[in-house]
Amino acid sequence: MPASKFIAAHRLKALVLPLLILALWLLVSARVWVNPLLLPSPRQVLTTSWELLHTRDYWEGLGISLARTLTGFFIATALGAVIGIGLGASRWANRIVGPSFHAFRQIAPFAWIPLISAWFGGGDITKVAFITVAALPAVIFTTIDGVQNLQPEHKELARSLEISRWRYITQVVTPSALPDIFTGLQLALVVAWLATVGAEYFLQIGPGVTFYLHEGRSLARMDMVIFGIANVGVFGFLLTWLLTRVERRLLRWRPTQATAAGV
Amino acid sequence: MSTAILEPPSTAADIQAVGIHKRFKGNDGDVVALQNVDIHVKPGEFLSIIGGSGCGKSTLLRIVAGLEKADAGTVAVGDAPVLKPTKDRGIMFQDHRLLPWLTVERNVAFGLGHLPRKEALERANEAIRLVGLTGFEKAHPHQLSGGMAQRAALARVLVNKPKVLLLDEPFGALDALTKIQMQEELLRIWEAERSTVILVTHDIDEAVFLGDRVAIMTARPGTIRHFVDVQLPRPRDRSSADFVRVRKRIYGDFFSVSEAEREYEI
Repeated sequence: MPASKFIAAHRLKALVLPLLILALWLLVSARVWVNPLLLPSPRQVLTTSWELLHTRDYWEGLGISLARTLTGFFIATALGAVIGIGLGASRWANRIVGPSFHAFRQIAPFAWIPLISAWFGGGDITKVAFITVAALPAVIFTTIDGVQNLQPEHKELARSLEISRWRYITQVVTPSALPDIFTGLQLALVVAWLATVGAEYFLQIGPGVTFYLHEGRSLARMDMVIFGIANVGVFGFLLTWLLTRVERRLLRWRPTQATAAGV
Repeated sequence: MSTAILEPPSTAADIQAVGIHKRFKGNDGDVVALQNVDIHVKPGEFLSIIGGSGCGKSTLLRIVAGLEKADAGTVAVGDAPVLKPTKDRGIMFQDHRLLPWLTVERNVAFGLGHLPRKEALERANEAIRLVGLTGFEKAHPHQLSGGMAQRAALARVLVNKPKVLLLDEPFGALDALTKIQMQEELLRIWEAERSTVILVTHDIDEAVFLGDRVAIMTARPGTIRHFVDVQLPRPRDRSSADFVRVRKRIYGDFFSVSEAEREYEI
């Protein structure tokens, strides 16, 4: 089967760079070219990881971090979709509110931290609020685009079939905007995950997957830091992968979806 | 006419368009799209409107549908003036306009939101059967061929039991063979349902094959030059001498006679 062979070969190519880096890393630590305190050996990192993976704290922290990310992400999705559809569907609303939102978008999410922590304290609400604020613009703006990309023919169809305003929004506008909304959700999910890491790192340190970044740094345990970084990468990747699965399922009706998405 | 004319059912309505004017703003001044256009279509009658591109024939149809407003003149279907689009005037376009995220069945049922779901789907399936799409109820539009998509679009119009069918070059994008097949399907359905039909086309053959009458439109300003009565028995034979004669006469309305003769002398 040449097709599957091609895909297999294609996938293996993606591993070339990580394997090269691993080889280089092994070489560097075997020859002790860099102080092991700054760059521990792969074996050291594996051992530490193995130990940490067997602690209750790790899994609890991971659960808490993922819960924060998803809570912020879902709030941003719901708010963003409603605001985006409202602004996209109503030219008036977009004229009045649109410019303010574009200004809002220019504010770096971290700039909100002092304000949000002053309002909500240093606890979980602050973290989730920060994650939501960070993820929100991506959802809003792609949703507006999606709504405005609605084909005039479909608008006319709804008119000639006397479709009610509610069904028009839920069954014509929203599904038609869905591919664009998902583009925003992909971005928002990445941002939410990174914002989780940022919030955990900069706001009051507590349980969470970033704990190891902070702890490793203060104990000068770079193996722990690398474990923390790996966690950020792996779970960021997994979240994106999961969302892609959901997207593909919901957008089955699109003819190009299966061929375009690859993976 | 040698064919027996069926008694039109009470649902079929006549169409009265009187003194229709329509201008569009163009780059260099206004363009008169329609000037003083009158049409009267009897209940159950099939009127073809033929004209070149830009003659205003689609605009006229859109005004009858209520999708556009005339600058002057009135349109009435039955006793009711046309003010906005309604489901009892079903319109179908060259593009199928099916919603890609809905199955064929749900596309056809899309205008039946006022009915309980079960009843809506039953009626949709009935319409799907009528247009010969049985077996494709659960398919998505991207899985259909052009002809099948137009069948689904026709079913979506028919499911609302319209008094009037407005067809804007519905088969214009289909290949020649599918087109002929669809014309025959449309006739079969029209003969069974007997709704009033206006068909806009640029295909002389299609206009003559389907229409009881053919309105000849000319452009700039868009006006109806005259109506041709197609007094041919149905089913019509496109190669019969009478059919060719009517065709040729309409052809002569658009091109000089010598050109027309040249085509038919080969």
